[in-house]
Amino acid sequence: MKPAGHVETPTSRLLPVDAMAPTRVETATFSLG
Amino acid sequence: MGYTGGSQPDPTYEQLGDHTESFQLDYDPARISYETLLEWFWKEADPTERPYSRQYMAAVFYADETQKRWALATAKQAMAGRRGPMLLPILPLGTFHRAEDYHQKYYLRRYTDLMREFSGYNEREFEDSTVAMWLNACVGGYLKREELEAEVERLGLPEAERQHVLKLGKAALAHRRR
Repeated sequence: MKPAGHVETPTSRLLPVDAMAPTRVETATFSLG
Repeated sequence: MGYTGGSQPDPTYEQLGDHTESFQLDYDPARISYETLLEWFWKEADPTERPYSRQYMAAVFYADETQKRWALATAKQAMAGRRGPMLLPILPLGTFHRAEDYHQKYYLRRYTDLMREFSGYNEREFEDSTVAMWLNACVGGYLKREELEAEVERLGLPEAERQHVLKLGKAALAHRRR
């Protein structure tokens, strides 16, 4: 039996590198013809 | 990948209207600056070249005044020593319309074994995936041999996929250099 207050942590569906991606990102937009 | 710079409300690849095929890069400003990205851009784009068409033109789309200042400053550097006027547009970014799914990570989509790694991703997660971005660059032949080996190690792929990416990446690189 799980202890009271136990919160199940969902297993990430993302690959580790994506799961660790930075939360603060900026965006650049270009076109190259 | 997507379409921007035009006025048509819902552009598609077939009905692009006055938009330009373009791409967005999400980056961590703690690791790489917008200025550095622009330096890379100017190595790929000739500022004096007349745009081929609205659909296929090189351009910088700035999101704010800071990006605009950097774009103009680096354009000036890129123009140094060149003849003729600056013809490459530096434009304010309006709405960026994402392109159809099949345009996202175009090279990677050909390989079902590699795509299996993303079976738990939704389309948006796949599009934003750092792993998918690198794999697309690997199998598209855009990484030098030593970069390819280092990146494939870092991505933590299963052995069979790792070997497959290395093989594909080396072949694609050789093809691109031909």
